[in-house]
Amino acid sequence: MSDLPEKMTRRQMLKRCAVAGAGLGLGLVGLGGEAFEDTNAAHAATLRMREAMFYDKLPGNKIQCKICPKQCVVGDGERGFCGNKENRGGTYYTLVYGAAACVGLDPIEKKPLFHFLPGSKALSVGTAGCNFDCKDCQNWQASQARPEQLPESSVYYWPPTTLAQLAVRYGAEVLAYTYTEPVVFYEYMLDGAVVGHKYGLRSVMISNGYINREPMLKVAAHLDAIKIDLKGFEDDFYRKYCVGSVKPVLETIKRVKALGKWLEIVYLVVPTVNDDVKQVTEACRWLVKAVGPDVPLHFSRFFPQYQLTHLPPTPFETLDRCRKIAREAGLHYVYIGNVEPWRGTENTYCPSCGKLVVGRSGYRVTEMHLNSGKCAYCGHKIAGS
Amino acid sequence: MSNDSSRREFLVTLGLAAWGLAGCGRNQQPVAGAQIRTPRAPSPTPDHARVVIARRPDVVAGDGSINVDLLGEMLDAAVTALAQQPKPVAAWQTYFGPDDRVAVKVNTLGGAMSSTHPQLAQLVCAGLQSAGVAESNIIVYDLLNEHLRAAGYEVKLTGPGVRCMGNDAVGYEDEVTVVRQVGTRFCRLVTNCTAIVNMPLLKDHDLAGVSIALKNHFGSISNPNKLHTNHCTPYIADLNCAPVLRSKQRLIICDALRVGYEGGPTFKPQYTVPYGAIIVSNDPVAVDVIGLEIIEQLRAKHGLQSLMALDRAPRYIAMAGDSERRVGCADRDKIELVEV
Repeated sequence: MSDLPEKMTRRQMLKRCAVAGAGLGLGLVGLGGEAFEDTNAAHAATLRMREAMFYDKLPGNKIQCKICPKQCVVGDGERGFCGNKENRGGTYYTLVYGAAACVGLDPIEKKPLFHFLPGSKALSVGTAGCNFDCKDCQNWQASQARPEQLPESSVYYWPPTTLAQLAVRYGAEVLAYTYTEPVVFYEYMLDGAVVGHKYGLRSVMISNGYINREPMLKVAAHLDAIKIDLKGFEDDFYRKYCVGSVKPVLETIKRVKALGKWLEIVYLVVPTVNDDVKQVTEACRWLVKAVGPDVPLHFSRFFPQYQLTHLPPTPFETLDRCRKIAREAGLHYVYIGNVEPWRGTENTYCPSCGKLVVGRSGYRVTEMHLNSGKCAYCGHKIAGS
Repeated sequence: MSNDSSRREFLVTLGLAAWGLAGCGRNQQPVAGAQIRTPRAPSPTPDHARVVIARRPDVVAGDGSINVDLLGEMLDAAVTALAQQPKPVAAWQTYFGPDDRVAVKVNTLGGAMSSTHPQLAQLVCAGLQSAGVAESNIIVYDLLNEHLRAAGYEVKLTGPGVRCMGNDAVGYEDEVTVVRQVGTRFCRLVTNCTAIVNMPLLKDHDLAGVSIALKNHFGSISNPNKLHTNHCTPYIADLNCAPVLRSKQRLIICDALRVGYEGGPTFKPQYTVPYGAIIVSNDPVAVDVIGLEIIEQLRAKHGLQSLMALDRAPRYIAMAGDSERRVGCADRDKIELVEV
């Protein structure tokens, strides 16, 4: 079995994913430019195949996937939008069960989850595939790849028990399903969460929230925290930039809150695309009304990626404006992420007395002034789990 | 022998070095030799197209076998009529020359009974060689090795001779190409060749309406699964606007020996008929227009509703020929249909 690197920085992880996503690139690096055929690939592909959950069989060997609101109707021999599930003779299979294409031993703050086990380590995995096609995707080399496009040398076969054992070995308290989109490797995530609990590990889902009600309810029973990307607040934006729609995401956010699971939200601010005052204001007001003022909201800085390389990184001023809007809307915990430590934007302040209760520098917790989850100065309960 | 020279010899043996596939890394551009030759034949235009159809019902026997000699005659006749040349060799030379590296895109998703016939692909490769293209400079390709094998092709990664491989063997460009509403990575065979022969099938497609020449290039990219939304519209039209396709695609040779008029894209015997034709043009849009016409005729003949009535009309065909995209001619009145 491959050994997990002790620590992989975000940059290293992205580089790894980039290499993985290069497809031919890796084959050529390994073999000097020739076409190649990996004799182990067929065996590996068989190991990673499991019948998918949540789909209906249709006449003519077609199936309809019910895992996410896209509800793809998939003909025999074809794949769904996610690219990692395939209809074979009228049975729908996931091709990525246990196939960890992106891995890392990350601080939980990197997910980002700031109010859930601060300072803990999360063994993080993601597979090829996604049910969105976000033009700004930061992990597109893996998320937009089909499994066979990632070279075997870059994919770990870590079925749930292996995953849990590795997490224990490396001192992680959390399993994180992340980097790409866990909705499309649902079967792996669900089994990982169930097995993880047996090993005393918590499980967190880092998701776009584009998932149907039934699968969400089923997996949520085994999850401990969920982070959802609210990528914008207009359906037109979701259609154009993500190939999705906003309403199901909002429903998932409300559903997670109603289930009592710990929830944090990320809003990636893309210049000229979703950074207008109206859209940000509406999103923040909706969050306060739908899930309350204690849900942490992370405004994340965009860097030119994938199909939006023509845009500049998000200016600090824009992020700061978003934070002000969120605070004015009534949100208590608003952060700015994906930036160098800057003006204390990743710190947690007590909403009651205003004092610093958790100091952070990047993904590192530098100071903590909490007593049993309460502000050490005034005793106010700091939201979290 | 130094490591470098050893490696070089190895690549020469494989023959892929000449394709610019040696040492491809991130951000590497196609090698200088991959620059596009200006074809002697005119590029497609929305204003006029010529489509040649060669049909011989006897080419497909009752047991499904193909009369290869007759198929060869059909191909010669069609290419000659398209190029308006007196001899087949001169016709092939209208489109290809000795300096070309040709990628031949077949369609093999549907298995042995619903794929571009290997016999036809073989004849096309022979035609290319008659124009002076070296056999080592011809690669037949599709999305996956396993699809090619299932369709009866021998996957052949190394020379000598014509090679055949899936994109999973050679991979995709690292860089994303954005064309209108499509963001994708092209397979390395397409970016490193100088010319493309597009060899689609003529078949129904549940999502796209039909799968003919324009749709066939979903097998030339990394993420076809992302482009099936909204009946593949406008994605198929937009993909075909990509300069790498427009500038290199010289010939479309559509395999209509058998036609699936319903239940596609996979093989459905109850909806598949021997049609005994090949459709040839340099204009993918015009081929789709004619192909759609044939499929609708077959549907009507077998008592099925039209794709339009079923809300499955392939709207991307007209889009590909519109004034913004100008991939080819979508106006039936401007398409000259030649039967040989």
